[in-house]
Amino acid sequence: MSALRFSEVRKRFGAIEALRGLTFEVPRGSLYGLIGPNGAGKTTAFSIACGFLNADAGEVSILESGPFHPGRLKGRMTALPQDALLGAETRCLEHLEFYGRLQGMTGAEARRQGERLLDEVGLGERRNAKARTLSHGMLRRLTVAQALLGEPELILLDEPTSGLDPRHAHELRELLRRTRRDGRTLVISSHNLPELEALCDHVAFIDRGVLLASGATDAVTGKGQEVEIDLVEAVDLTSLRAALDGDTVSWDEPRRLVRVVYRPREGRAAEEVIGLALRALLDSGARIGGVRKGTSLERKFLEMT
Amino acid sequence: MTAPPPALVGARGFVRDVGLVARYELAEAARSKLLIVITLLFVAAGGLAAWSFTEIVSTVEENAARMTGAPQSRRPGATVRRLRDSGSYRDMLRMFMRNQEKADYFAAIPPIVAFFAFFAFKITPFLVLLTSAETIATEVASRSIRYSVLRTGRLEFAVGKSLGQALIVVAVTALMALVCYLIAWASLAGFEHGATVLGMLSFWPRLLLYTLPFLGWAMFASMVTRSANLARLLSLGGGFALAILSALANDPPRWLRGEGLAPVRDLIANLTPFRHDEGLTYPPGGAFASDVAVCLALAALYFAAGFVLLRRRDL
Repeated sequence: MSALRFSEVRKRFGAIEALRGLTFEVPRGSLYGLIGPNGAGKTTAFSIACGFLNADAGEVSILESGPFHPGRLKGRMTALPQDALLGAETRCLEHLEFYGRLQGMTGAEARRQGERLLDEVGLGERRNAKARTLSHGMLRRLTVAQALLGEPELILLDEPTSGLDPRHAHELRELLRRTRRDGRTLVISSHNLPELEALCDHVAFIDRGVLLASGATDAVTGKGQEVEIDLVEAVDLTSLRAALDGDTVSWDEPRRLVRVVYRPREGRAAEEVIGLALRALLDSGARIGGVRKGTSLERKFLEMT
Repeated sequence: MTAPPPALVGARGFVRDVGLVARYELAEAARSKLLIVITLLFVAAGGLAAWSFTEIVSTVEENAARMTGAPQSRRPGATVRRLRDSGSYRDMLRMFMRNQEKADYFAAIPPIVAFFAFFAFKITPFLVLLTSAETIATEVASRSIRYSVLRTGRLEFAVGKSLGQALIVVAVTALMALVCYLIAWASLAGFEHGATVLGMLSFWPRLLLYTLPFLGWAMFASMVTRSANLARLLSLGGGFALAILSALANDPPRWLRGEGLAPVRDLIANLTPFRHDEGLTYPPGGAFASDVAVCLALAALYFAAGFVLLRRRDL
């Protein structure tokens, strides 16, 4: 069951082809990260999913009910669009009441939810402040709050922590984790890859409008089949290669790390590979700086784009 | 996870969403500087109407006093009632309008009301074209429209925005009439309170009907552009273009008078809102129903033309 499915979606802006047959599928109940450099097509993909932009070709299906339709998806899907301003003269709580009512809530319910969400994003004391009096970070939190109104099954968030200070970014990540625990599907686009790695159970890399890779975060980062060991200086890897016979051992000189790609099999966890590798390296006189399972999303991103 | 709130569907849902958008539009406008500007424009128009009328009356009375040697009262307007009761006012109107029945109709209402109606029917369309054009274009430019169209249809959004603007026009035209009434009351001697109030109350809804196609055109401009300035330019520029087309169709120059061009002239005359004030300002003339129908149809036509683009465009 997919919450969002893109199939060969294309979109052109004049001479620029923003999406060139983008295909990916977001499983229901997942916290899905959409990763790509500037201009990769993330925001275009979000905008097509939300019906703001029309695709030139391809198919989009939301909650398995076809392309975006405000009537059919009323209250079932919400989003945080990038760089969309809110009415400057309207107060924070009034914004949430308006959008809540527009997605089908009663006035009382919209007010109750609006107050709760403003408290959750740290704007409870500014509920009667006009949007034009808020700082950039506060506006971002207000726009995130509107995306969490109601009981949506699918929430699309384009750069939700952009412009937030570390404390508010942390609180927002916790709020998103809690939101996800309610069984909802969240799709997040961000340049903050450690944040996505910590939050998301599925990721997709896109670049120049096409999908490069996608899947469970652990699989994409190789957490079940890769080990990286930082060394202070280069050593002879002969004994390591002998200890890990059948696995691939490589030396990354610029980063001074040993990468072991092993074949996962029954009874052979990453910890066993790490133990064998460390013993062999220490016997070779290596000074070890650090060990981790898999590679980081950031490293994967740099390798792929 | 609880079930989502039941979405209201069908006509009831449409009306609910339109009402919500219109209410939000009014609330946002009520706090913005734009409403202050709009209000000042309409107040100025009402004041200008009253002041112009007072000046005309004052000049007429001054000239009459100079010619007859009679003393002139300190406040103008003392002779207005007498002038209206005399046949000369009616004769003047007949000469001006070239229609006895129409002259009798306007002679029966206080001159300030007739003057206000003439003034308001000429100036209000352009004020509406100027002030209502930016409502959707601004939201497209700032992308704030995205928060709304995630939750409701583009039609509900556009109709709600238009309704909000229509309600603003209702309020500011009432204010314009009130300002005209108060200034005329303060400036004119022998002011007819009851007849003036009734006369203005009678013309006000007809003025609103006449304004609708112009509001439709302003919304068209707002739906097909991406910035407030461009929307205002298209709205006002298009309004002037429609006025020129209407003038050409109704009073054609020699090169447009051919019999073969009559269908084109008729089409242009019916597709432009100007000149459809005749039946609204003078209902006994027989064109009231047709002019109301044309005004409503043009309002819907202009709106629909703009919406066709808004419905499909990237936001």
